[in-house]
Amino acid sequence: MKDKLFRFAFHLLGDIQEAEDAIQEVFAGIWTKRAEWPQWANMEAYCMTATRNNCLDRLRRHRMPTVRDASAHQLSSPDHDPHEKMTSKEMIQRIRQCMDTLPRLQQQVIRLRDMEGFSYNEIAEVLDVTLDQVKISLFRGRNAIRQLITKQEEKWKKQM
Amino acid sequence: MEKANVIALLEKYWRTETSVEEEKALADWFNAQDPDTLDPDLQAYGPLFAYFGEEARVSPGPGFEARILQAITAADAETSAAAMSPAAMSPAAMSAAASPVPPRSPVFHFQWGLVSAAAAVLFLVASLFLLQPNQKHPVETPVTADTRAVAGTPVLARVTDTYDDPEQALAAVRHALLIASAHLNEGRKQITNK
Repeated sequence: MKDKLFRFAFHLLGDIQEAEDAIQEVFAGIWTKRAEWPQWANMEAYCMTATRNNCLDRLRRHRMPTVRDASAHQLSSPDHDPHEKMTSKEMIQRIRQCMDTLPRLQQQVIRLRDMEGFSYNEIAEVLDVTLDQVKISLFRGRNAIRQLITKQEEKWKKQM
Repeated sequence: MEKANVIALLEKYWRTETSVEEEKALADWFNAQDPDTLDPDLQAYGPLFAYFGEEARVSPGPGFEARILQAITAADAETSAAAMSPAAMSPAAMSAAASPVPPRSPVFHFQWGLVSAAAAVLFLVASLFLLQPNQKHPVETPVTADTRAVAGTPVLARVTDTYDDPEQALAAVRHALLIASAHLNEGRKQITNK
């Protein structure tokens, strides 16, 4: 679970060290509340919520940039030939860039669903939003990515 | 998985109608394919699931677990120190400390052990006193003016019955009065003889 929490913190904070510090605090806090563990219906969702709250506090305190530093993931070269068929790696890079431009809630919902395999209810609990907000955000986020992929696909087909 | 099934599942995926299991099956299928030999109709979607897989593999640096344990140990030490501080002895802190929390500090256990033992002894003594069979109920009798306290406030003396049987009590009183009367008669004789 620590890796899952770390990934979630990392995607919220965009900084490995800061994410590690956040998770250490979260685990220490959870440990001091061990008497309450039997009352928690979903331990993992509780930990994710605690992680989210800790990260949001950090973002508020340090006014950290919420969008990841471009250096963390190398962007495709600007002199890339638009007619050349994109490799899988380049397409992954485009999808990553597209994800970074999505509203934060859509990013978080996609990450929890498509990367961590959370149910809609768990996502709603972790992000403290309604079930409808989860479904709408997921639908919009996936569609933004789909449009990017479809555009690229059309370009490829024209070239063929 | 057949191409038609993959396309149908992809459509469901875009409509956000897939279950977590279906999404996993879709991702597993795409990630198991060679991108160069993938069907041209599906090729564009491969990178999406590859991206999800890549992001899910992001992991913390080495020694992360040890750092978490250090943070937990430090938090435990802080909790113990707070429990021993004078502020922690306030009623609110005492009641909070009484919650069923696993071992905190030896001092905490020792103090509560003493309190528990004292409470148990007190309860036992009170039970023995209150539940004693055939207990004679004390009668509170106001005492007359000559036995009042100097301050002038009435004093209540406790008088305890000595006999359960009224006949026995009467006989004892008669006997006491006879002795007193005999002594009085003897005294009067001495006065009259003089």
